[in-house]
Amino acid sequence: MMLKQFWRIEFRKTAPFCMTISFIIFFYVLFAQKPFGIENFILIGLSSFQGMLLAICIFRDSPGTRAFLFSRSLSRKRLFFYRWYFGIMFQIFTFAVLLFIMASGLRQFIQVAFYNSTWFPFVRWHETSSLIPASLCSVFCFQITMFFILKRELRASFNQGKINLARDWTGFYILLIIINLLILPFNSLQFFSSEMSLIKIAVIPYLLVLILFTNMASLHIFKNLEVNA
Amino acid sequence: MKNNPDVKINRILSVLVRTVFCIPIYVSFFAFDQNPLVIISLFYLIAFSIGDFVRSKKSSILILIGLVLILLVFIEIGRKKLFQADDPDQLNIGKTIPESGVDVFCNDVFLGKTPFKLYKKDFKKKVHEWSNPPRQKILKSLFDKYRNYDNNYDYPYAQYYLTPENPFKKHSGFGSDNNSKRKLIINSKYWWRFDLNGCMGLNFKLTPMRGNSFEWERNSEMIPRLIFPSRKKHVDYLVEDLHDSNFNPSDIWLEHFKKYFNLIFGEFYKRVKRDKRLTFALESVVRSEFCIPDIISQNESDRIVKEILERVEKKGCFVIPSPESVCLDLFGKELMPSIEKSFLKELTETFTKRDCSSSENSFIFPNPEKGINIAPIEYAIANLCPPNLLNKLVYESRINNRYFDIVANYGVDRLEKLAKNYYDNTKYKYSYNAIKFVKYSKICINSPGINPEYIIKRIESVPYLRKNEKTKLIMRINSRESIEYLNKQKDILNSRYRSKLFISQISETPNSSFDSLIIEIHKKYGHSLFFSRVTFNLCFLRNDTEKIREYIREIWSKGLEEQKRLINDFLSVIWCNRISKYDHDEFKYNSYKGALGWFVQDFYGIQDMELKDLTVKLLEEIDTPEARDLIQFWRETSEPGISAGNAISMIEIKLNRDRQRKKEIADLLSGKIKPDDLILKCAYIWNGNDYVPENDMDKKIEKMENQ
Repeated sequence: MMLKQFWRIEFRKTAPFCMTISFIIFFYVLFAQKPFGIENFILIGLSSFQGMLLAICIFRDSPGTRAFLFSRSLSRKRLFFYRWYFGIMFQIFTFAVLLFIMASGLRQFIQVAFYNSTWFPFVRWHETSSLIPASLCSVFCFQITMFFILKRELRASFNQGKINLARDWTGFYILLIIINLLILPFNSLQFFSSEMSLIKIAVIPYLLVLILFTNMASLHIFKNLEVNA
Repeated sequence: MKNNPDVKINRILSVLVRTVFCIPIYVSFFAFDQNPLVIISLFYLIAFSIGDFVRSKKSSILILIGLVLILLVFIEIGRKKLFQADDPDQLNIGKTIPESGVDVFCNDVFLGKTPFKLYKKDFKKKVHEWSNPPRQKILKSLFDKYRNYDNNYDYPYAQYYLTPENPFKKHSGFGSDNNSKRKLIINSKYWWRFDLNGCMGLNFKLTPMRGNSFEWERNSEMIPRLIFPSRKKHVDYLVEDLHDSNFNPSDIWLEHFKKYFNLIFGEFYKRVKRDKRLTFALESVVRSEFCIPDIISQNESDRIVKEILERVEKKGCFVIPSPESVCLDLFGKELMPSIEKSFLKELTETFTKRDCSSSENSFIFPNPEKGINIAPIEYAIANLCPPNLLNKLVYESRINNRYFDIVANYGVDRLEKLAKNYYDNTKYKYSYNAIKFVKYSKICINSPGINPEYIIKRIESVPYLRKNEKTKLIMRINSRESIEYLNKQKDILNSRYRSKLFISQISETPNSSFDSLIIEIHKKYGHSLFFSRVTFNLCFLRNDTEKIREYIREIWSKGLEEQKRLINDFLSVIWCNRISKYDHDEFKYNSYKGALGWFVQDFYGIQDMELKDLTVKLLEEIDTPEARDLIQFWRETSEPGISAGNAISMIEIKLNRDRQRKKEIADLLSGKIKPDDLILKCAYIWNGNDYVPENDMDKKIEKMENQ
């Protein structure tokens, strides 16, 4: 392989769904008329959905693909981290494009030309602040979904591909993700703004800890996945 | 599989991930304990935490940790709720009254300085019941009961304010008839007194007014409505002393002011608004209050802004005018870097608290728990319009219109489109929107690029509005264009209502190009009762042109009756406007002189004694050298026995009184007499049936006061 084959497989799995979502986000950012703020739940929702979809697309393999990948010389650790990098890079790419759209004046141009918007140029730079909660939520959802998907795959691999519905926490996971998404953007602001100095700097460490633990757990699961091809 | 080390590691890692995953939810318990989503999520959280580990023996520790965490959250919520709840054993006193530091006494026992919390336990320990109503140093009755009315118990203001039982109980059952009021006074056991800087405060409403029954709702707040009878005279004397010292406050004056700062600041500020020459004294006072040096360094600026915010927070509301607001008015430019810094900080900190209630005009924020800190900062920004914050404010205005109100003060060209957009999208349907609508109209007018005609057309095109309402709305926009618009309508003269609006508008915002129209309206409606003569004459004074002067002379030449009426009207304008809102910006001290100084020469021909008396009063007010010469002339030429008369004698009395006043002012500043000594006091005692003046002298004093 092999890396070329690997990237081709990943891209084929991911591109149709995630690029579609990315384009939806780009179009939304270009054509939404109201100035963006941290309270923009549509952008947060779309980014989070993209994060979740990315994790599902990257880490969910068909038995054939998995058998093919696991039978190569690439270690599972490297395979896992390549996939993780791919996911993170994809998100960085999306948000870099969004930043470019906002900061380069492309959005301003479209808003003024098509909608005769009066908000610009006042809000041009301030709007970029809306990318912070959106990107945080995207990463959060990517990490959690990655862990959840792999855990589910592990269970399925133990039960010969069947999921034990009685012990299936999918519903709780999704619910908790939604709750967290409702809370996190505002809580993150609260973290930054709270008078308690400890909490003030908590969001970034929190995400780092989350990334560390989810990666550790996911890697462990990934190593123990059995191939039922 | 159970003993497989991989499974164990897997489980431990799962626990770690899940715990980290749930941290925002845990934290949100602390941050937003009222969020129902969080409460619901708690149940899921319990199931989620327990579900995966219940089979694992060692994971019971982790479950225990989870349960302890949840327990802690509940305790925290409970603790918060407990302390935020309205404690029935505590009473907030004087939290939102304009004056701070009022000494509160109950049954002459000192309880604390406002704002403070009174606890039931302390109250019961300190205060003992009184069996009889106390002697009131001052008591204002609604009617002069010793002349025209039977005994009544309506006392709008009294030194002692009653609560029948202790203030932690609810009382009712006292009607508004005289008998009930009498019963209420007799049965009351707790009598409250409010002093500020050693000066007596009178509290509003001792007994229920007509039509109301007395009900003491056990409220969490006691907000006395106070007046301080000596305050006005006190400030009069201080201002007079400043006049004598050429508006440079002496050290004794400053020291005296500092001593009575809380009491007299507001009243003194009113005087400054009327007479700009007092600004220097105000500046000195504020400097000494906030220890502001001549040159303000960055550190000093930070300290001052911090002090302002702390004071506002302590007070619980931001009042305009107050020492804090005046400090921001006077030194805002120097303090701007610190204000900008605080604004950006507060903007983030109060993200979830930004829905603070604000009054449109006064900027008073009565609720201290909702972002009170932002109020003085916003006030300063609205006044000074720092360019760095423009973009930020516009951005913030997308979710909060209040920021657009601040942006509106910038009035720069670039805002025109934005203002127009807001303006177009504001629907004038309800009264609240009407205020906004007018506000945005003003913004549009202030923006040089927006044609006022557009705004007027916009108002014209608004549905739901009758013609009169539209006219009224256009008149509310203080601009020349709105008057021009009405002028173009050419039916002002035909409409009494529009003419009246025009006259009141033009007297507020003088515009000399409309002098002919004013004269025409006066000719047509000058004697109509529908118009206020005072407003007409104010309009004459404020729109002083040659045409207007000729017209006044024309009226003057019509005969004695017209002359008397004219002098009377001018006197009314001057006297009324001493207390009216128009009397500001040096108008009283300069414009009257300027506006009527030319008229003095015409008074030389007056022969009628009554008219002379009236004119002398007017000349006193005009107070120019010409006016003084004329008084002197009349004084010298008047025949003995025939007074020119009473007025001149009154001037002599006034001179004597002035000498007396000068002595009193000196004594006041040196501390020999107290401010309360300046007022006539008429003590009242309870004779078992009613409050009556303590002695005959008091009765006389009361009569004098009533006269």
